[in-house]
Amino acid sequence: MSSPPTGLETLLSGEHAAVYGYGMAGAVLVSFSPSAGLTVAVRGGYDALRVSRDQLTEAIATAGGSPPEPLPAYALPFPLSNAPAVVRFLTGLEDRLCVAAASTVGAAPVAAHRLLAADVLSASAVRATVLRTLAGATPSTAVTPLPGLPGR
Amino acid sequence: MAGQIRVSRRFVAGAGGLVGLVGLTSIACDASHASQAPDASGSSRAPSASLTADPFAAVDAGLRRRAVADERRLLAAAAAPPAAEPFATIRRLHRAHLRTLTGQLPAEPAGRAAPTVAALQAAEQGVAAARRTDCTGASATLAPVLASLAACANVAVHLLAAQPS
Repeated sequence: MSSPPTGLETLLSGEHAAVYGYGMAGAVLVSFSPSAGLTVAVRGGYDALRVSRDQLTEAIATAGGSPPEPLPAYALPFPLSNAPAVVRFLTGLEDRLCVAAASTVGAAPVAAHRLLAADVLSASAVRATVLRTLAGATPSTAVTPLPGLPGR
Repeated sequence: MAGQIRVSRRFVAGAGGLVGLVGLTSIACDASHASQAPDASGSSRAPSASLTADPFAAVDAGLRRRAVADERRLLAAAAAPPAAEPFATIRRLHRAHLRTLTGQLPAEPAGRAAPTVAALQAAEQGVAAARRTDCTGASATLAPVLASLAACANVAVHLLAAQPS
């Protein structure tokens, strides 16, 4: 018998992919002599995503659900051939995580789960802003008024 | 498994495609659960039958009013200095929020004494916490908007953190 979905499963799948993506980014970045700021952002993002991944996993399991497992590997959308490509890749991951988190806030039937998803959305939006700034964006171009909401 | 979405190997490649698809799916679901909000025990209140009032309309209206009041307060607080960053960006964000919440473009507030960066940061932090809490009581349609407002307030806190006090 299948366990009831909590609404967090899709977000956890996204977190698994993001953790993998940050791991890949960190691995290739060392060969590009990244700035200290980028190194801190990638390491910090990786650590933060692992923490929230574990929180989501525990929340799903506690609710009697089945936390989705990470895939063995994920295909990259384009080669991470230099530091700007790495930043672009990570920014895309964060933007998509924002969309998944916002959708989860609306779909989760438990208040505590909505709070978890809202926290993922906030953290991801801040990391995306940091990455855009590292890519040379100004404050006016680095932020979006409504992170995670399509077309905003 | 019912209710679960299979994740393909292409998630990162198309983390976009998949999450984008998931987003669309959730949006479609929102329309049919627009009046559902969670309670602490996890049971959702029953959706309203057609031809009856939406039981969450009043709750949503109250949460929306509170968000509008906070956005107006933050817009005014960031009104001076007029052109300096990140204040100009923060004003733009709050104007966009007000347009989303009210459907109208707000007037530019009159300039007044510049707040300290620390005061504005504290105000944004307070609003982020309020919207985060509010999203637990809102309908499935409004909750993502409130969570997104909270996220944007946290981004503003980050922008202000880079400023000298």
